Amino acid sequence: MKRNEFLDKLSEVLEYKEQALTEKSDLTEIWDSMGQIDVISLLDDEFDVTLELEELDAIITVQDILNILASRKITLE
Amino acid sequence: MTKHNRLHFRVAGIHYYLPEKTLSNEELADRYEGWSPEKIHEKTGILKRHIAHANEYVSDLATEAAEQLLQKHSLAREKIDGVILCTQTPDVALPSTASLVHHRLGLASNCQSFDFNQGCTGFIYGLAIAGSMIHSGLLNNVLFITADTYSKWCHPLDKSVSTVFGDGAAALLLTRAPEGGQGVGPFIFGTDGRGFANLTVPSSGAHGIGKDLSSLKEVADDSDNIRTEGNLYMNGPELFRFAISAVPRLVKNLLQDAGKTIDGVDKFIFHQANTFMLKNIQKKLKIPDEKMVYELQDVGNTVSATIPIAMQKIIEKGELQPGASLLLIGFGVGYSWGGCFMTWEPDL
Repeated sequence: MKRNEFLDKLSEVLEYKEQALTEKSDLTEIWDSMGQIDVISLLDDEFDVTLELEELDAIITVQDILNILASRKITLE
Repeated sequence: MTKHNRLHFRVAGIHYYLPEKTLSNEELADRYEGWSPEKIHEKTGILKRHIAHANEYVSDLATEAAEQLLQKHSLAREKIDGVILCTQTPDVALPSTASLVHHRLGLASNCQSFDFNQGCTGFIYGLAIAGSMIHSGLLNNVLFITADTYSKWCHPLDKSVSTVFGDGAAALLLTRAPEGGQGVGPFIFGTDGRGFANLTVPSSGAHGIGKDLSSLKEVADDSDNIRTEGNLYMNGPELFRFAISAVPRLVKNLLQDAGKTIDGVDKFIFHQANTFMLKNIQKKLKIPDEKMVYELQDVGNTVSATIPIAMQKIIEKGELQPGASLLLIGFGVGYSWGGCFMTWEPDL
């Protein structure tokens, strides 16, 4: 999956239309608990990635998610 | 490797009881801005929950479930030698609510009784505890009851818990398995106490002693849910993360221990947490629709009672045939998880 595609999917599941998401976007300002669940589900569906408790707690920006994917050897071009 | 932790007992009877009062999605949608009854149904899979009255407690629900079970079963009540009650909302901190249930049911004085504190995995724990006592010969006929009234902890303006949890009780009569019976097992259990604070009532138990509950401060969270330290708190995303990682692993380990595949299981009965979570677990494990049980639409998440309520509901629908192989899975508050196989050998 391309990085832009992933950002689009992320916006879609978060129903976030105000502006385009970037790596720097602060998710804690954007997601509520339902949104968090949708993102956990997206990572599981698309990449078969299940987060660890500490990883979920530590996510602040979109880049943090990309870093988690990278730690599972998943890089988005 | 096949584990040999099979327990020689069976479920001779099962009966659940729900409080009369119900809480609909329409009533809930009126409380939460931007939420419709349809959205609540879509997110939870629940249409209504039963809610205990202010003066209705676990002892009342547990007694009612057990009394109705005893009335429909032929076993004489003086033959019952154990009452085991699983609850996290006992009437009082002490004594155990089981002693009150024992009294109200008019059971024999040489019948033991106790409570144990477990939530969403409580049903599996109870089968293991009661089953071990029967298997060892210590007991013969056990009333195992799961009952909870989480609604008493829920703040009405906290949609993360008020939309999900319902009150209820289920009573089972557990007896020695017949000669040649399959027994129950293998069992697997697990614990991750890092999740302790993610589903809890912070100011309860000894932590609540001396505090005036009505003076606790109401706080709104990021999702506009309101609660105090004296209310039930659930970190929904974290529980979801935990469930979709721990539960599929548990199922795979149990299948391996039993030397079975998904094809060899007739019904998967998971703790009925919420539909969205269960759908994710079903998809990850590739469980066919006809094997996957969903029975929370009219009752909600009744904590330790969800699995036996689901069992009775599918029995009543004629979907549970004698000889069927069941995989029962509990998971949640603790964190805790546990599961076991059961061959359905009823005497109902």
